[in-house]
Amino acid sequence: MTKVRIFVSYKQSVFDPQGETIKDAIHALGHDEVTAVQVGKFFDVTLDAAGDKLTAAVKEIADQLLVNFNMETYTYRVLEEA
Amino acid sequence: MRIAVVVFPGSNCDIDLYEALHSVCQADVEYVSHHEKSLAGFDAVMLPGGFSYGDYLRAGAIARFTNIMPAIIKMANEGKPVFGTCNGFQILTEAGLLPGALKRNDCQRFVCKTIPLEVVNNETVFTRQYQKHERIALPIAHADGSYYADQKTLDQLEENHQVVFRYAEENPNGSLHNIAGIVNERGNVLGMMPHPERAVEALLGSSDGLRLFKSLLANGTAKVEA
Amino acid sequence: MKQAMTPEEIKEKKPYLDWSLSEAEYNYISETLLGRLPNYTETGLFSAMWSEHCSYKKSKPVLRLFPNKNSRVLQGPGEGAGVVDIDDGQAVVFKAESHNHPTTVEPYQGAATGIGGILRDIFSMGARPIASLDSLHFGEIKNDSQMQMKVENTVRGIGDYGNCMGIPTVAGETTFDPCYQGNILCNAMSVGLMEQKDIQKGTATGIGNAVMYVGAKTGRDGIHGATFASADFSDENATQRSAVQVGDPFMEKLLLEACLELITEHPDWLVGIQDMGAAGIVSSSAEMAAEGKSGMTLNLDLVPQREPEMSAYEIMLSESQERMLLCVNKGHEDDVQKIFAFYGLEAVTIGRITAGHDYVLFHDGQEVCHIPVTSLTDDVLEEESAEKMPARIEKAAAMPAWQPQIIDAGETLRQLLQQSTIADKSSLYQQYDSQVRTNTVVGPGSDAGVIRIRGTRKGLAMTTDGNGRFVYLNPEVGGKIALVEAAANIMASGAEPLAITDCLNYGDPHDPEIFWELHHSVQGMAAACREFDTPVISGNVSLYNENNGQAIHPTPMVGMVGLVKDIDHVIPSFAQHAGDQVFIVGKTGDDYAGSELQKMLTGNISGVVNDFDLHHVHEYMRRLLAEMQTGRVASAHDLSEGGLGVALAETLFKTDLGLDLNLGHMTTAQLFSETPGRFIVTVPADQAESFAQSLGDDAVCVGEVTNSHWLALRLANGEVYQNVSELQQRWEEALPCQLKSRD
Repeated sequence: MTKVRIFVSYKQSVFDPQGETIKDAIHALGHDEVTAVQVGKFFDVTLDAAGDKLTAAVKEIADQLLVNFNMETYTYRVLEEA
Repeated sequence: MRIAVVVFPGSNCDIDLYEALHSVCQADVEYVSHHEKSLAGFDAVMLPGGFSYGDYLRAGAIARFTNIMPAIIKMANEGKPVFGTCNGFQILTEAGLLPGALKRNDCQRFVCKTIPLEVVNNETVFTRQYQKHERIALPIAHADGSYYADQKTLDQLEENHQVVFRYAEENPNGSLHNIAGIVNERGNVLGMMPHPERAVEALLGSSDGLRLFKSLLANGTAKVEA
Repeated sequence: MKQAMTPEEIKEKKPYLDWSLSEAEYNYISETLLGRLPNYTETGLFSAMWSEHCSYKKSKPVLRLFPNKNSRVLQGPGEGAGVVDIDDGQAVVFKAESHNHPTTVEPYQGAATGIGGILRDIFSMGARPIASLDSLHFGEIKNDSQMQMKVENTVRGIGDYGNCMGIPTVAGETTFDPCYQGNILCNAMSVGLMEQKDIQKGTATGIGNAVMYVGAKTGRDGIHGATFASADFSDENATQRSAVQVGDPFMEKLLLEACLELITEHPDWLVGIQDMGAAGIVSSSAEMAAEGKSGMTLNLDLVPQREPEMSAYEIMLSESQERMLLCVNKGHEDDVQKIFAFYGLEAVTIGRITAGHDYVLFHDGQEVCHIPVTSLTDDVLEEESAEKMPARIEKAAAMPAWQPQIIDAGETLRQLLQQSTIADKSSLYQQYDSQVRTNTVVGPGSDAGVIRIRGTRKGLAMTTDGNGRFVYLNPEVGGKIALVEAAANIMASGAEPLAITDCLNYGDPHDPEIFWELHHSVQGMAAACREFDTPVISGNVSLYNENNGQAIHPTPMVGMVGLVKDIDHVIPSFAQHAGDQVFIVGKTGDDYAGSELQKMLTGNISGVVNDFDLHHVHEYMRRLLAEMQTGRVASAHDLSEGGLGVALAETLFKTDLGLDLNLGHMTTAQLFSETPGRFIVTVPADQAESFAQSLGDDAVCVGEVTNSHWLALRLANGEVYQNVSELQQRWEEALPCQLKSRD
């Protein structure tokens, strides 16, 4: 079994008002050194695959379901390998 | 004209669409479950508002994997009228029947109120009974209604007159180009965040949405030619 | 089997004391009810079922004071919700419930699951929920970012759950007072509509019939939520605060549709149905068995579980949301399963109805509980409570009444409109879908919400009202005022009051002064219920609303529903046409104790709330309603917080009209007096004479509606001349501004 973490967030060009709001709240905490906050979500997917098969599966799951390419983008990394 | 109102798990404005067509317009309308695979015998299909699959993942993202979706896409490709309001609009973009996407409102909140819109294009099967640039008031009720598309898509939408409704005074959600509703290039698929089906009786505050349904019904069963 | 302690160890170590079961109760259970020591699971079941939240053991003697019957009541307290006949074979079903403790701990989920729970109570009766209301009481928000967050998250929780369910939130109230700083109140009310033939009961009968579990899986959510609701907050208790459940409105929407399909289309398959609310499986199953006078055996290994290795005790007490328990006629288990499968839901047979009256549970192949059903439900020891009049009330009676000094009435009005309790709440209620299902004739921001009943001329008006300040100063009169205020809201909309539900929010009843408040305020409410013939058909009690020993104001919330006979005669709350005559209905006295004016000018409330003639008020309210039903009234608005001054401004907001009134019979202070049972009514000029005749001495014509958009008032000792747009701007901007204020 392999556990993969897929990170989904808005594309760089898309305005992220939630991130802006959180940045303002961080500033209210006194952390003026924070210059940007981008919000995203991640999915931990456990699957019985490795190598090319794994890469292909993750790509298809992300492309077809987890990501809306009109506004979002993704990266992933392997957390645990059996 | 026989119209299908699709019921997805979590649809909740299905009754609003149904009653607007049935009680107010005396149209021939039927609920169709998402389990069904065919829309044979229907001349138009409508996707209601609500929270299909709880808006989990993204609003409208999961509904597109239901049994009924290929039949909706088929109708769209045949040039038959396909209409989605609110969550229905979100589903149409997620399914690729309309360009762009609906993001979380800029204010990060669900917003329910009646707001002014401008009818930008009155040459669609859905808007023929409106005047061009007419101001109407329709309710909105959504948390994810901020229309987003890249610049190229926006340019195309404007050039092809695909923007049908725009927010006229205030932009309640941060939509680009104040977009409230768009059609596909062929003009037979309309998606909009406001709820015309909630504005068909003066008793409930506004009847400005009525002409959208009347436009469509007056059109009979004619297809929109490519 | 996983038993944390043997029965002997339980007797010795007394873990039940932490679960709010007293030693006397434990001994009574062992010695009298069972004749043996209860095991660990049984002790847990008793502690949950005997909590105040499930058993009402302390409040029962007081609740008996309420009337709960009249010719329209089809189902009174005791079931999921009360049911009232609204003619034509139709019935309205409603109930309110508090979710104060969960909301104080985790406002978003607490409020959301509060809505979820009350909706299940409605559809478990066989009714489709058609509207929700809320009653929220927060601490002061100015410069308190924590309380501001609580407001935001509570409102978002209510909105997200109700919006997703597709049930419009059409009315409610939101107030702010320091007494709720450490313990906010979140009361939710739901109203449903049904055919009388579909009424369901939470009952289980018929030997061999199936006990079926439907909906979400069981996890370790909110174990001991029922006892948690019966314990006050202290900072030491903070670790206990994990008992908050997480809601899934999508699951609930599916559950709603599946249950209603089963109830309305297959009544012959179903014997009974009940929501798994507080104390989860144990309360629903034991109450259903007790209602049906049946025995019941459950196999807990069959309960759908979300987490591994849950003990019997955890399974039985879990408060996982979006679950229902059904009793299904033998042989129809598969049919029921198919209906739920269509909606993607599980429906599992977890037990059977048995002969006799025993409640038997198996887990991991072993019997873990074997007790009489009624020992959990009917044998609860009622508690005698000591009571004593609070010293503050005696003291206040000896003091001279506070008399406000008004220098500039216009400026006082401007300031009052910006008080958080009075200010415009649209920034909150616009987060609620108030229109879904397209029946909302009057939405939030008016005296009462009004829903039309499709296919008829009828409508339903609904409101929630609670004012802890009056009850705190004078529980009995405050209780009456709560009811009169609700009735005024309903009647100002043109509806006839039908019945009420309530949430009784109080502090720790072991304190004799708090019990006295409970007792006397219920007495006042009950007297008013009898006067208005509005029986109490459902409700709940929320005690122990304290933080570090500081109790909230006693805050009974009244949720009232009224019947509109002709939807075209719904009366708006704002002025309609220039030239209409303006009447004030009801006499204004010097009623400043507990008023917004007193709170604003002195920072506190004090004094004696004056008693009033309940029968007289009711009598002229009926005459007013009769005038409305004949179509003689253009608008009506009831007077509440901030008195006449605020109400006059409110009748002009969102219009382009003004008022020119001669109030020579009133002082500037009386402009802000909060005498109960008063209305501003506008009447077309050609109807004014007959209106004046019908109302006689109980109404006075004070002037007319103008086109100027100015509020012009001439009083005995001063005047008000204010631009309405400016007043409206202050009123609208106050709350959003205060919700962002920082030190």
